[in-house]
Amino acid sequence: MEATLQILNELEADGVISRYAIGGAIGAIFYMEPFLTYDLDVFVLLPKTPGGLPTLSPIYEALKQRGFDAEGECVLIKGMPVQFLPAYNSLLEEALVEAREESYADTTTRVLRPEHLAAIMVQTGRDKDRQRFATFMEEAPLDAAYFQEVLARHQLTARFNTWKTTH
Amino acid sequence: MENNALNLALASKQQRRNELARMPMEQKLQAIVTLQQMAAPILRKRGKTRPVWTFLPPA
Repeated sequence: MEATLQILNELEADGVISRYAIGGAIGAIFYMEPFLTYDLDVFVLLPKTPGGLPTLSPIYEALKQRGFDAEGECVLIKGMPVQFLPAYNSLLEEALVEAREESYADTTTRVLRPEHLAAIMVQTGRDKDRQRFATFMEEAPLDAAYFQEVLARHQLTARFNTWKTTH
Repeated sequence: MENNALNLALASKQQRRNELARMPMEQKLQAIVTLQQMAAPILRKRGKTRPVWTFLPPA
């Protein structure tokens, strides 16, 4: 995975992406016990384009030039399927801006804060998010006050309270 | 008595999970690869294939 992260850092240094951070299952696993997963979800802020519409095409093109082709929704980078997800709402934009720097072996990367990962699980609300959320809340080092602020800022408090009462 | 044994078992289980959560990320990824390898034959029997990661672990 280190080589994969180095490619992501190159894309950021070259301005292909403005900022990236790891989210999804691997992001969660930075803070909790490992579980079966297959993709590395990478949230990205894209540079502004003249037309104004964000597109992932420049990322795919830059990766293709480096010899990494898209396979379905992912690009296989150095043996790891990577899925690029644009920050498509205010919660994800905030999560990306406030993501933390973490080290993996000798390489620095960025990972979403646990409070944002938990809030994204609440917002996404799939069955697998709900299952993961319960374990994540037990194991991840969450700042409870900050988590409540994030939920309130993104109108997720009511849904979180429903989840709490049904567990 | 039975409740005590059950509580002890649950506490031990939780402690193990917390230890797993605190493992270095390099070890966690190795654990994921092991899970993928274990899942591969089961998925194959169901007619599904998912790639097992092939990256090299850090030295």
